[in-house]
Amino acid sequence: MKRVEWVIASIFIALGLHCLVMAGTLLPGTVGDPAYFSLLLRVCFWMGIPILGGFVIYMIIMSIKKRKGKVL
Amino acid sequence: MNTIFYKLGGAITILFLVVLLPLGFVMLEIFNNYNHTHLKEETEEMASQYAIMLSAADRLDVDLLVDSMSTETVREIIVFDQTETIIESSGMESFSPRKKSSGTEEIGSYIDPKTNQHYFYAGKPVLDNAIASIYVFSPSNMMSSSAVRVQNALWLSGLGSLLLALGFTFIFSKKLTNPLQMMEKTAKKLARGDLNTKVPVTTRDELGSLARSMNELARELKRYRDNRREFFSNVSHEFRTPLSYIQGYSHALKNGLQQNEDQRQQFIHIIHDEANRMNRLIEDLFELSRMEEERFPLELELVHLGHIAQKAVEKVRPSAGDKEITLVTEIEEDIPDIVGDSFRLEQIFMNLLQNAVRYTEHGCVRVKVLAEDGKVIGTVSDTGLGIASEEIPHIFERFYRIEKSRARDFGGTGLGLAIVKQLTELQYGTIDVESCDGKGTTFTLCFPEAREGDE
Ligand SMILES: Nc1ncnc2c1ncn2[C@@H]1O[C@H](COP(=O)(O)OP(=O)(O)OP(=O)(O)O)[C@@H](O)[C@H]1O
Ligand SMILES: [Mg+2]
Repeated sequence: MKRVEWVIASIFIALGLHCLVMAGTLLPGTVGDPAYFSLLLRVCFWMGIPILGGFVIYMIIMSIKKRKGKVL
Repeated sequence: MNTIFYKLGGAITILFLVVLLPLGFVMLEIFNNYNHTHLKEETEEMASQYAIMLSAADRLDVDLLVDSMSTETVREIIVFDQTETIIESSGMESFSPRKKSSGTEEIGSYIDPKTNQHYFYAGKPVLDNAIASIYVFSPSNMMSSSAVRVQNALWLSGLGSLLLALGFTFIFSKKLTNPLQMMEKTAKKLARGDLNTKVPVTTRDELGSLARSMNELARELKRYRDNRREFFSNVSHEFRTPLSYIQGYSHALKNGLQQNEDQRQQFIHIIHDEANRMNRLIEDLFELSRMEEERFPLELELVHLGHIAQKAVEKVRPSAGDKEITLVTEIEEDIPDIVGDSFRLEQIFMNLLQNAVRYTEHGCVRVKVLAEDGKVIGTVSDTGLGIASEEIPHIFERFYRIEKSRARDFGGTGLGLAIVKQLTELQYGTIDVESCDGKGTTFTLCFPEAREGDE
């Protein structure tokens, strides 16, 4: 992937995250920078869970395959 | 251009939309329903509050109440008396209660014919003599400011997740289609004849193995092309030498340049030899090309490899006698037959033996034939020059000779071993070579033993 493409994708993701966090802090009672950042962190956490989960499953499958290959 | 990227990216985006849009729609619907119920409850509550207030107040207060209602909020109010005439109204004179029996509760929706505005209303009976009931109207699209904010937040979060999805879709489809695009580019280059290009192998899945196969294909193709080029240059080179001899000596004969009858005979001899050599070359080449096309006629029968080897040894014995070479044979008598063409098998042994004698100065050439678990093995070993280990993979190639100039002195064409290999493989055998540079060479032939029913 070229650098421009990485930049485009990151802009999309950053904008999306910003929109989500803005939506979360739109209602009164949740204003201010700390609220924004804590919400951002939590949104990132929920975004990271599927990625992490997929990675872990991939690793497990890979290690199983390797072990099988060694046995055979 | 790179349409597969757009196809994949588009498909994933559509998938996201297929999920996100219905989800968004349902969320908004839930929100609207909630808002509506909330509005209804609020209107009803207001109506009953006003009814209690009115039952305790006098006419003046009714005026005040309705006035303030119409100016400060979007809600409307109508107050009816016992005969269902409007006592006081904030602007909706056209409304009349559906239920004739006043004094009961009523809720419903109503469209104002003047403004075409949808209203939700609640009517409550008032425990007063003059006033029978009070009706409160709320516009059905009325929302509190916090509800508006919630709706905006919902829209914004929808937009955010869509953007997030687009970003990740972009990355994923790029990552997935990049190797394909690279392969396509390489394939185009290969088709144009640039065989040195390579696809980088990054993954171990099907794409990775495809890339590996492509690289292998390119390598094979390159080898093939180089081979063919070399083959043609070799062929023309091989033919040029005898031809130039023939040309030169026949020219001399034609112009009577020979000094005496002896020299004339010598010239004729040379011409004859060279013509023979060319003939052999053509025959070898022709045979080899026929073998490589795999429609080579073989007369397969049950044969005894030992007898064939013996015959071949007898044929090369005179030429071995010219050098100080002893021919040793170790041939087992009771070995199983193999399926083969006796003439071609003899040709194999002849070629190997000729090589052994040709590339050995002194020492011995040993021929062994023996049986070993279901196989018949023939070896031809010598104590000659040997072959350097880096040359071994090439000696079975056409025209390959180790020292080009030295081999020319020996008079070979470099086709012998290529023919041997082809013939061996056509008869279901294998050939291996082991060699120690300067000490000697061993060629090992291995044929499967004939099974019952083989003819
Ligand atoms: N027994 C051997 N000892 C040493 N080198 C050998 C031996 N057999 C083959 N070689 C080497 O392998 C090369 C290829 O052999 P091959 O039989 O194909 O060609 P050739 O003997 O030169 O020609 P041809 O057999 O067609 O007359 C030879 O040039 C020779 O250098
Ligand atoms: Mg030879």
